[in-house]
Amino acid sequence: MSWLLRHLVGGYSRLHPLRALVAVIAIAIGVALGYAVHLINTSALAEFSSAVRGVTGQADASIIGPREGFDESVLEVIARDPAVELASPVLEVEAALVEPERLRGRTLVIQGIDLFRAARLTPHLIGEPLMEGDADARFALLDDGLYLSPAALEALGLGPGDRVGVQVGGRVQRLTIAGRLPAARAGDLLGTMDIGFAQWRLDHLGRLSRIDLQLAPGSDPRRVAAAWDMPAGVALQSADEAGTRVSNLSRAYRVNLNVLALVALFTGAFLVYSLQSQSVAARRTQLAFLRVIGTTRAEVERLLVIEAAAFGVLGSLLGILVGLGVAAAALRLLGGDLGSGFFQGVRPALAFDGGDALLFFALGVGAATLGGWMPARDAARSPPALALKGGSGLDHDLGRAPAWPGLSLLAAAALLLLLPPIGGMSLGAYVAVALLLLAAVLLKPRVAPWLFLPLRRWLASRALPPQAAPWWLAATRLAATPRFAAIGAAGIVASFALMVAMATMVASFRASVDQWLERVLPAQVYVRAGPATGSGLGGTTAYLTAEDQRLLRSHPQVARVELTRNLKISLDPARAAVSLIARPIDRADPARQLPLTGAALPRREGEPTDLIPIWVSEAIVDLYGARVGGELELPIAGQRQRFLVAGVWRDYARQFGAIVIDAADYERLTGDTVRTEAALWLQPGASAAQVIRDLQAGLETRSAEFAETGELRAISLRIFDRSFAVTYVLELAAIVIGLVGIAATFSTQAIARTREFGMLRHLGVTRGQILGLLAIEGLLVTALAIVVGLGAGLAVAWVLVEIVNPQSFHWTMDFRLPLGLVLGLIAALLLAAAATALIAGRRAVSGDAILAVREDW
Amino acid sequence: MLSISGLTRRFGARPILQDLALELGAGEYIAVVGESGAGKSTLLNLIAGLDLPDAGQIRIDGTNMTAIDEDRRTRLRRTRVGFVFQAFHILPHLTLAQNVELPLVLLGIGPAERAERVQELLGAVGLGERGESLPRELSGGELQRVALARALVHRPALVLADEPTGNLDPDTADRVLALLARTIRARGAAGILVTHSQHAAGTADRVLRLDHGRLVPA
Repeated sequence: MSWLLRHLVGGYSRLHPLRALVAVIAIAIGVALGYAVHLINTSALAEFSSAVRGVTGQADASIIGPREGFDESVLEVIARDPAVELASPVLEVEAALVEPERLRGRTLVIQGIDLFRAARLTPHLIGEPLMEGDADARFALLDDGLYLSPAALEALGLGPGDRVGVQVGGRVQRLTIAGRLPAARAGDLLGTMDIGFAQWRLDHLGRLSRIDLQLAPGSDPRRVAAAWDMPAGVALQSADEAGTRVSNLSRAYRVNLNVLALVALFTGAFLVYSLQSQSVAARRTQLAFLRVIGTTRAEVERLLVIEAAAFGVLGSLLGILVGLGVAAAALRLLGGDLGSGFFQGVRPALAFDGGDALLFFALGVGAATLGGWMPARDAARSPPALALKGGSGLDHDLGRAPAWPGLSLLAAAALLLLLPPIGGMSLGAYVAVALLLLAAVLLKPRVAPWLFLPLRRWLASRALPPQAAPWWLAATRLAATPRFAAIGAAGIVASFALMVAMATMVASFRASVDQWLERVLPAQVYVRAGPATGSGLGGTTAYLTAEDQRLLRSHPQVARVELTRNLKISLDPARAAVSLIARPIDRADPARQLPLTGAALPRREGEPTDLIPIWVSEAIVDLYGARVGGELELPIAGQRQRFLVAGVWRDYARQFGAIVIDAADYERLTGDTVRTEAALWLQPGASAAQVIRDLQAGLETRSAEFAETGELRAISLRIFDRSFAVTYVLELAAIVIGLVGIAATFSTQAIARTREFGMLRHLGVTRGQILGLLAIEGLLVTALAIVVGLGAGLAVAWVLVEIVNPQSFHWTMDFRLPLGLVLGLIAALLLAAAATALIAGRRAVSGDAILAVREDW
Repeated sequence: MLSISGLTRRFGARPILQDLALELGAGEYIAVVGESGAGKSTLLNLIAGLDLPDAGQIRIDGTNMTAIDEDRRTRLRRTRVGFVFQAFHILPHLTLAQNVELPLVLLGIGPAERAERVQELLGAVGLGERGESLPRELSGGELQRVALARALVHRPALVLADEPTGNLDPDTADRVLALLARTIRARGAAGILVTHSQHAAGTADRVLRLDHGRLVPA
C-alpha cells in the first residue's frame, strides 16, 4: 500500500502539482478563515470576561441590580447576615463629560467605593495619590478627588490636578484628578472616588449599583442569598455567572459568524470533491489496471481517500498558521470587534488554545477526506474491464446519479428546521443549511439535463453560423455528461447559494430596519441628555431637567414634544438587562407610535384597573414567554409588578428586549419625573438646524446631544452596513474558492482533453473556437451551478430570515429578494467563470495538435 | 487538386522531406508507404496545414497553404480536407450521428441538410440504423467506419487517412480499406492513404514509396 501511495498517488501529484496545490490552498483558506474568526472572537471574549470578572476582584459573589441602582438599605440587610464576612458597596455610573470642552461627547465609568472594604476585595480600584504638598489638592482627595486608571489618564489626556466637568442633571459637577489606579487592568477606562461623595456629587444619594461580597468559608451563596429580602430586580450573581452572562450576550453573533466562516471550508470540501472526481476520472485506466492485478476495491478506495486526506493535512496545517497570523493582525489592527459592537474598545491579546487548533485541523482534514471519499467510492465501484476499454474516464459520463441521497438530505433538513433553539442558538437550522447545500450539490446532476438537453435540442434545430459551432459542441457534450458537468462547479453552488442567502437576508434585514426607522423616528429632531452609554455598566448622570423640558416645550418653532425615560431593568440575572422605555402611548391606537407585529390588545370594558398595559419587543416574547393578553411581572421601583402585555412590537435596536410603558403609568408607579430623551415635532417651515442651535445654547444639560431624523437614519444604516462588512469578506472568500475550483476544473480538463482538442483542430476547429468552447463550457457549467445555487440560496435565505434570526436574535423581518444585486452577481460570476475557464484552458490550445494525436502519426 | 513542389522539412539538422513533389488529381486515390520514421506522417501534417515546410509549396485547389496564416489554413482544412485517424478519435460523449454531424456544424449547414447527409453517410458505411448509439457500444471496425463517415460527410476535396487499419484485425481491416477506397472514389474526392502495409496500399490506384525524403514509385 505504501508503495502504491508513494508511486501512484504521490507520482500523480508530482505530475500535476497545480492540482494538488489548489486542493491544499482551498482547504487552507477555509481553515484559516474559520480559525481566525474563532480566535478573534475567543480572544475578545476572554478579554471581555476577564474585564468583567476583574471588576468584582476577589469577591465570591455580587449583589447586582438595575443600572440605575437600588436602595442602599439592602446593604444593611446583607451586612447583618453572619455568613457575610465582608460586603463592599459600589456605586457605578457612566458619567457624561462636558469639561474640558474637548471631552464633550465622551463618557467615563466612575465607581464610588468604600476605601476600607474595597481594599480587601477589589484592591485594583484603590487609588494612589499623586499630589503632595498642596493643601487644596489634599483636600480634594476627600471631596471631589477622582482616581483614573492609566488607560483613562492617557485616553482622556488628563493628569494629576486637572479638573473634569461631569454633567449631573442640569448642573456640571467638577472633579479633580487626584491620582491613578496603579493596579487597574491595562486598557480599562475607569475612575474611582469615595462612595459617599460619589452618591452626593453625582446625584445618587442613597443608591448603590452593586455590593461585592466575601462569604464565610463553606457558605453557599445561593442559600445565603435566599434568606435575604431584596427589592425586585436585585439579585445575587456569582463571579462565574458574570463571565457566563457576557458570553451569552454575544454567543448568537459569534456562532453565526463562525458558521459563516466555516462556509469557506465547506466550499473547500466541494472543491476537493470536484478535483478528486476529475483526477480519479483521469486515472480511470490506472485504477482499473490496479484492480486487474489484484488490488481490492477497498484498497483502491483507501488509496484515494488517503490522498484527499493528505491534502487536508497539509491544507489544515497551513490554514492554522495563516489563521494565527490573520487573527494576530486583526486583533492588532481592528481590536476584537468584528462589527457586532459587542467587543468595542477591547484590545485583546491572542488567546491560543491547542484544543481549538486541533479541532480546526480536524475539521480541515475531515472536509478534505469527505470531499475525496465520494469520488474514491465511485472509482472503486467502477468495473475494471469497462474502465480499461474506455481509456480516460473524463470523456465518459460517470453514470446516472441517484436522487435519493439528495432527497433524503432535504427531508432531514426539513425535520431539523422543526427543532427549537438549543442554548439560545439555532443549531438545528445551521445543520439544516449545511444539509440543504449538500443536497443541492448531490441533486445538481439531476438538474443538469433540464438545462442542457433543451439547449442542445434548440441549437441542433437551427442553422448555426460556423462561429457558433463551439456552442453546439459545448451543449452537446454537457447534455451527454450531466454528472460530469455537475462536478465542474460544485464549489460554486455552495458559495453562490450562501452569497444569495446572505444578500437576501441582509437586504430583507436592511429594508425592514429602514422601514422600522421610519416608524420609530417620526419626529424631526431628537435630543438625548448625554452620549450613548457604551459600557453597559452603571446608569447615566445626565438627564433633561424640568427646566430643560419646559424650554423644549416653549420653543416657538417646536409644535410638539414627546419625552422619554429610558432605563434598564433585569428580568433574569443570567440574561442581559432589558430596556424599559417610558413614553406617552395612545392606548387607543398604539400602532401609530409603535411598529407592532400584530394587532394590539384593545382596551376592554371591565378590564382590571390594577393591570397596567405594556408593549413588549419580540425578544421579550422569545426570551421570557410573554404573549399578547398575558401578564408579565417586572421589577419597577424595587417592587414586582404585574403588567398586561397589550402588544408586541419589532425592535432592531435592543436584541435582548425592550418594554414600552406609558409615561404617565411609569410616573405614577415610580414617582420618577426624570427624562433622558426627547422627540421634537417642528412647526411647518421651521428650521431644524436653527431649533438645535437655540436649544444647545439654552439647555441646562450641556451634555445633551441633538440629531435630525435623516442624520440618525443615515448613522443607523451605516452602523448596520459596518456590522455586515465582515460577512461580505467571508462570502467573497468562499466565492474566490469556488472560482479557483472552476480554474482547477478547466485546467485539469485542458490536460485530459488534449487529444479531443487535437482531433478538433484536425477537423478545422480554430484555436479561438477551442478557447470559445472552454469559455462556453465554463459559462454553462457555472450557469447550472447558479440555477441550483439560486434555488438553494433562496431556501437558505428563508431559513436565515424565518428561523435563524428570530431564534438567535429575537427579531423578525420581511423577506425581500435583492433582484438587482443577485442579477449583478450572476452576471459577474458568469463572466468570471468564463474568463477563469478560458485562462485555465489556454494550455489546451498552446500545445501542438499533431502531438495531441501522436499515437497516429 | 493537390500540387506539391520542392517540399523540404527538416527536424534539426536531419532532413525528413527533401525537395518532394506530388501531383494529385480529383478522384485519384494513392497510397504512400515507407518505413517508420520515413516522414509519412510529416507529409500528411504539411498537406493538412498543421505544420509548415522549411521550403517548397503545397497548393490545394490553387491555394498555397504555405502562404496563408494559421486561421485560414484551419478554415481551408475544415472545408476541403477529411481525416481518418488510426485511433479513430470518435468523441465518446456524442452519439454516432452527432460525431458524423460535427464537420457540418463547423460549416454552418442547417439541421435538415445535416440530418440528411449524416444519414446518407452512415448508411454508406453500413451503420444507418445505429445513429443514436454511443461509441462505447461499437467495435473497433465499426468505430473506424464512423470515422470514415465523418471524414467524408462535408464532401472534402481531399481525404487523408493515416494507418486507418493499424488498430484493426486483418478481416476488419480489409473491409474498412475497401470501404475507404469505394467511398472516396464514389464522391470524386482525392485520397492519400499512409500505411506501412503493402497489402493495405494495394487498395489504392497508385502506390508511392517515401525514400530519402522523396516520393518514388513503389
